[in-house]
Amino acid sequence: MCILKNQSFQLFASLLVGSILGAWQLIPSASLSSPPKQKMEKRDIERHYRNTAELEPILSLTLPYKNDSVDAWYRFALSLDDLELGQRYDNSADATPLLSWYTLIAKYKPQALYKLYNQGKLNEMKFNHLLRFGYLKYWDESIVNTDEVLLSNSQAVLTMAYHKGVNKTRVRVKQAFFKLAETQLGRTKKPDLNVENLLFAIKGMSNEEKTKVPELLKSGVFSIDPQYLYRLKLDETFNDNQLIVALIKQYSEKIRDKEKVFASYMADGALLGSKQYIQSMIDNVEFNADQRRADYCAACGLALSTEGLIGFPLINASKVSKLSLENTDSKGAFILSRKGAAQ
Amino acid sequence: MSVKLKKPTLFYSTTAEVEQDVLNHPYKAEFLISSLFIFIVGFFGSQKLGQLDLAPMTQSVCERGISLPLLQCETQTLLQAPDSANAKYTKNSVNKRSQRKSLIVGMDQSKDAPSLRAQFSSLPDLQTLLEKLKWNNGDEQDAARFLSVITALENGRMNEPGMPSTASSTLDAVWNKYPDLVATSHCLNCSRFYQHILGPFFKAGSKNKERLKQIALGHPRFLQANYQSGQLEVDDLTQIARLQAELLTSEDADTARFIGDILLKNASNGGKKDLSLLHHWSSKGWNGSYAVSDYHKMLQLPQKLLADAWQRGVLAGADNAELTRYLVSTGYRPALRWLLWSHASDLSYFKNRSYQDQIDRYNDLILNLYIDFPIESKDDLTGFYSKNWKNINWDSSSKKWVLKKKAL
Repeated sequence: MCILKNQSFQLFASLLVGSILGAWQLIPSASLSSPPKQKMEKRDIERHYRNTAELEPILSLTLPYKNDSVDAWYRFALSLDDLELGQRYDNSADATPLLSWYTLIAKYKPQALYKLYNQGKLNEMKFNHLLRFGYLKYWDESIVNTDEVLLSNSQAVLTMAYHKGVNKTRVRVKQAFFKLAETQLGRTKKPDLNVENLLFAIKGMSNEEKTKVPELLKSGVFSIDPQYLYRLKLDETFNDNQLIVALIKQYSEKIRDKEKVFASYMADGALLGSKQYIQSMIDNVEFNADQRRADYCAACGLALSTEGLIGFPLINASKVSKLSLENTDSKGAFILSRKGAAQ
Repeated sequence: MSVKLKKPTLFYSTTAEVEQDVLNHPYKAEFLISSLFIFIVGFFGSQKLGQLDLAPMTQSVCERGISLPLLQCETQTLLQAPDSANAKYTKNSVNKRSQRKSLIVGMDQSKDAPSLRAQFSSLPDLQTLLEKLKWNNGDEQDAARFLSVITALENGRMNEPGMPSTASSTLDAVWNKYPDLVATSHCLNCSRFYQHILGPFFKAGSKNKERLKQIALGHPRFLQANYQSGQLEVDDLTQIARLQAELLTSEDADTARFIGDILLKNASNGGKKDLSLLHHWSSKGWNGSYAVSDYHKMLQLPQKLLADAWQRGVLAGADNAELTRYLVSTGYRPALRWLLWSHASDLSYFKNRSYQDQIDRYNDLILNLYIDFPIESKDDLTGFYSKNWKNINWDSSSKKWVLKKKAL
């Protein structure tokens, strides 16, 4: 009897232990108190926390009704700027987590975004992002400074050209160019001119109009990045290398770029025949070589545009001022040699 | 042999005692098997019970506000009215709040719990974190919420291993329903989003073909991926490629080639080849030169076009090794100078940048294939060239750069 009792008890105990162990396995996956799989450093947790957005407000975002007023949608769009998105990025950054909300606004009430854009509250990055993904197709009908956008924004011109016709858009960009060139003369704030947009517009110009373009560029009414002026050479309107070199010098004058990170225009100038830029590249070649990331490579520019001394023989000669810079050879490269060396 | 039974006890003091007792028992085998069987029944039985779909029951309990130990009401926060902390974000909202299903699972969303941000920050890695997100197959707004949360969490873990490829499977279901929202949810060049997520999605196609066709216009990468998915007509393809070549920039070698192929194929204009657009495209951007660097293309194109494309790559820090090789092997002198500068001048600039990848490939060009200088080692290359450049010429018969005086 005793044996049986003991046996029953032990069998019951087996069932109990088995059940508990089996059930226990189900608990930790759902339990909040389960420890993380790996041990996390406190500073990692803090870093994650700092760089992560508040999630509850994002989860609570709700769009206005589709037929609500533009103002209601505009206020919603404005409210997105108030969300706490962590330290690493704010809502103006490329990596904002709220891009999908701007997409929904662009889909249902683009006027709200045009209003923001006209007030300078929707940055170029978001505007271009939405254009790139096929939204804001008819931006030119609602944006106030259409002419400025046509001259500065290639993505916007591309969208317009696709939806309204390529030739019509060339004419429209051309008109914007001449209009702004006239009205901006003497003003402090200069409109940005993207060289690709200008090249696009030139194809829609008459010969007479084309002849006016170089003069208007020289008049300095626009703001142009000198890094891209070399592109003008692609159009026969600018078949004079000296003209492009002059424009490069003019537009690079006011650039504050002590590190010369963006001085790639020097190599362009040298390749177009500027002795001055050859000298600048010789002066920069060693200093420039230590830059970790730069769009300007003086050694590359020298390799392409100069003949004769190359590499360290060139650098060493320049250090002791024994470098002679002569005119170009038959292929257009400047000849570098040691002063006094037999030619 | 008599068996002396011990007084039954709840606990054995030692393992030895247990073993002894069990071994001495007359029904030891049957007992052991029975115990084991009962243990297994208990173990697996309880697990099977736990796997039953209790969702309807738990939902009913949660909806009634009943709190039970070990039962989490996951949808609690999302179903409740916004609290004061987030009310300002919804003050403009006039939509009737529908009964949303949760997008987040396994996290405490009760009122007194730490913020989701804090809870997510404690999770060890992105994979674990993404496991807590569950697409609820909801409406567009749910998709926007879901995508925003994913991006927000990725931002918190920027530069961690697995970024962002781990998100691909999480986003797959959303892509099927709202491809445009997934496409626009990240900046194109952030976290290799395109490479790991968007590119494969585009290539796989979507139910919403018309929408993808519109997106194709926005970027050469989209155009290429849409074409590969078979969802784009040839006429559309050509028109868009020409526009993109004029106004946009190639951001990678692959799409540069793709657009270049279309331009070259369509270069014939009334019997005359018009390569101006290809010239325009291949001479801009970091990777433009890849548009013309396939060997069969190089043979069809004028040296001026190839040299301009190559030159832009060199100046932008993305020289194209195929073009360098081709130009060096066809007697183009600037390419030879560049090869010697980059290979033998030992400037740190060439080590820090993308040039380093090419320099290793140039070894063969310099030492074996196209240069035949009487030098001891490659260290002497720039010195030798600097002294003898006037007499270094391309020898078309040996196809090498050699030291010889040009015949007058």
